[in-house]
Amino acid sequence: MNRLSVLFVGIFTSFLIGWIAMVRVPLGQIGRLQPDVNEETGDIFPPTPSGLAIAGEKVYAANGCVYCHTQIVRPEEEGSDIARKWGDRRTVARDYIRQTITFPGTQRIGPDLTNVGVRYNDAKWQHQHLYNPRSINAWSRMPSFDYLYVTRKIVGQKSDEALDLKGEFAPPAGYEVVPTTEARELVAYLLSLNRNYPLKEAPLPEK
Amino acid sequence: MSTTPSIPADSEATAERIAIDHSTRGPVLIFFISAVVWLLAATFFGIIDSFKQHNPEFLGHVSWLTYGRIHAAYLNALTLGWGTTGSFGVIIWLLARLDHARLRIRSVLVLSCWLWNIGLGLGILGVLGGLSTGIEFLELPGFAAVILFVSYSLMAVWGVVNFAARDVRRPLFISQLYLLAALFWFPWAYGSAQFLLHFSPVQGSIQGIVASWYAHNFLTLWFTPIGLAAAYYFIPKVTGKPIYSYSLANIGFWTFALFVGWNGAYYLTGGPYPVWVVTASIVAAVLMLIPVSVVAINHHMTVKGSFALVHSSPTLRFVVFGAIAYTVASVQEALMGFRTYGKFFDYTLISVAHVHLVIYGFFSMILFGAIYYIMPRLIGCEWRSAMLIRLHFAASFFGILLMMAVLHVGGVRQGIDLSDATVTFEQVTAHAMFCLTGRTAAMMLLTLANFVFAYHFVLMLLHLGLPAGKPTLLSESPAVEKEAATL
Ligand code: HEC
Repeated sequence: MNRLSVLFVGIFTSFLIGWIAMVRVPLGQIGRLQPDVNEETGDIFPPTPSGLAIAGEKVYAANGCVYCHTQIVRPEEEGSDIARKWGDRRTVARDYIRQTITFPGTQRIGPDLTNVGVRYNDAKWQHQHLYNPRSINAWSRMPSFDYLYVTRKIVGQKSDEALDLKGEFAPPAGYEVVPTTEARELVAYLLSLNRNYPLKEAPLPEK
Repeated sequence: MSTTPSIPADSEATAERIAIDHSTRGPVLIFFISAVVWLLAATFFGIIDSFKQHNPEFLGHVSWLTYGRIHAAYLNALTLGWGTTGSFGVIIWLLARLDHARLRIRSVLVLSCWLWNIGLGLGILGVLGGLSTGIEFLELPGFAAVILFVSYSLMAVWGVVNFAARDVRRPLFISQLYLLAALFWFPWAYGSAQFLLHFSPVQGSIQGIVASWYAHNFLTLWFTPIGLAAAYYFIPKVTGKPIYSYSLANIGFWTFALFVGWNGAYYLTGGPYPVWVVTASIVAAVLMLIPVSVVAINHHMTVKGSFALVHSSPTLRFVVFGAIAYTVASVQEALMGFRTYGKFFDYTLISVAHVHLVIYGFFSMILFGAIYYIMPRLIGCEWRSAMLIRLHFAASFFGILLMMAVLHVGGVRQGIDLSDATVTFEQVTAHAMFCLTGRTAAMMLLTLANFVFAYHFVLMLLHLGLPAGKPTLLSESPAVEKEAATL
């Protein structure tokens, strides 16, 4: 008897069973979901994010936002997520089908971001917060992502995109802080985070 | 049946063993040197990482040094660097000894080591430069993953060739089973996760399950079997007693193999996934307590009566600590599955504590123990200073204990705070502060430990140890005389 082959079969089968159960079967079950078409209104949910928002996923990945933020709203009985107004309803698998990379996350050093585009739908706010979170919440422990912005001399008119920074965060007189392409993509992504639509399996609660 | 890597009766066997040890020297040393370099790199990233958690402005204005990139660099240098290259060293040495075969195709191993270091080094630079994939434990950019995979394949080919060339007259030892399984499981897990998440990504709906399955299995299909293989080898070896029950050991292995792959989803309760996946995983985490207790009983009964040796032998002291940490971590894991537990403590520092208990408390400690045993046999001299080993152990011991204490206290607080929607995020943050500073203190202790170890390791490389013959012990104990390097 060739022991190596017997061992190999044992080692392989045990792995395979676990893999099929925990990866392959779920893949078959929820790996090819279609968007939900609302028969009355004709709306299609989840909506397709813009190209800029999709590009923002890469910026989100590259800068490790996922180590501090989750993107999961648990149902009411499984935690305080809904009570904290992180979402009106729980998130379900279909919510994630439009994203090329998903960021469920494992830590909540910061708030859940599933619906951050609903809470703060103003790009200016998002930019200022990213540039320096402490310019908005002095107690914040979120890092500054000021390297995604450039400080440049104002030539002629101040740019429309320039951040409204006050006090210690303001650039020197005659200068302005404007977002780079990466910052624009990231903010487009954050603004696209919006699960405020009904799905068959997860209707919005009656107001 | 009761077998153990026996202490040979005759000098011929001893000579053969020395010859086998010597044949492993080049490859094992280069893996160990890599491991120590990665350990220092990880320590460096780790302390910055920890400091940034309470001082977000610290080194905060350079993209390379932002928290999210340093954290990824830290995790990867620690697990794929220190843990994995160290594992390779232990695997090569142990398999050669247990196969009773001098090392074959050594140049393949050396090549594999260089490739691994280059792949990981480039990968970490890539992550710092902004190419992280953003998937925990799989952050390295695609090109690095490919290099690692090639390097790893060389390693696995070697493992199989060496195993096939083993002295088949001898019964298989339990550690060989664990090592062989690990050598196969790791690339399957790594390869399938990389494929499904990176090279041909599955739909967003399912990525979370695959990612968490991998993140968990990276630790349990790779580090755990290697740690257990080492514990199963060194405990009988140093105590000079056979494994308490060999059939128990076999049961332990096969139940482990059966349940281990089902784990990984238990902390997804309430997540957007099929409920049965989470439930199956919770059941598996509880069933895992069977192999865990089998191993614990076996080790405990083997060590029983030799506790003086745990005090005096550096190897045994580290390995026994690691084995205990493994049991504790596994019990914690079974608890984490319960809904009430998850409701409060998912997404808190408690999961950070758990991962660190596995990586530092269990795995690194066993790796240290193994290196303390193996190095004298490769270099031909003994560790220079018992004091340095004691310092290393004490700093690691208190560092791990402190880290567990602060992360658990902080995590419980954080969990209770978060579950109450009237507690604002500002308050949650304020309450967690002390525990994050405490964590930095713990990291400093671990930094001290790691540097002491690295210094001692370098002395050893420079042949500045004590003359071979009498092992360096932490206290007098004539019983371990036989642990001397020449045997
Ligand atoms: C070290 C942990 C950490 C990292 C990394 C981090 N954040 Fe935060 N984040 C926080 C904390 C803490 C808060 C709450 C305080 C605040 O508003 O600044 C927060 C708040 C936020 C908010 C406001 C949410 C709300 O509801 O108030 C947004 C948006 C945000 N972060 C986006 C990001 C993005 C995008 C990234 C990556 C580029 C990122 N964060 C990286 C910790 C972090």
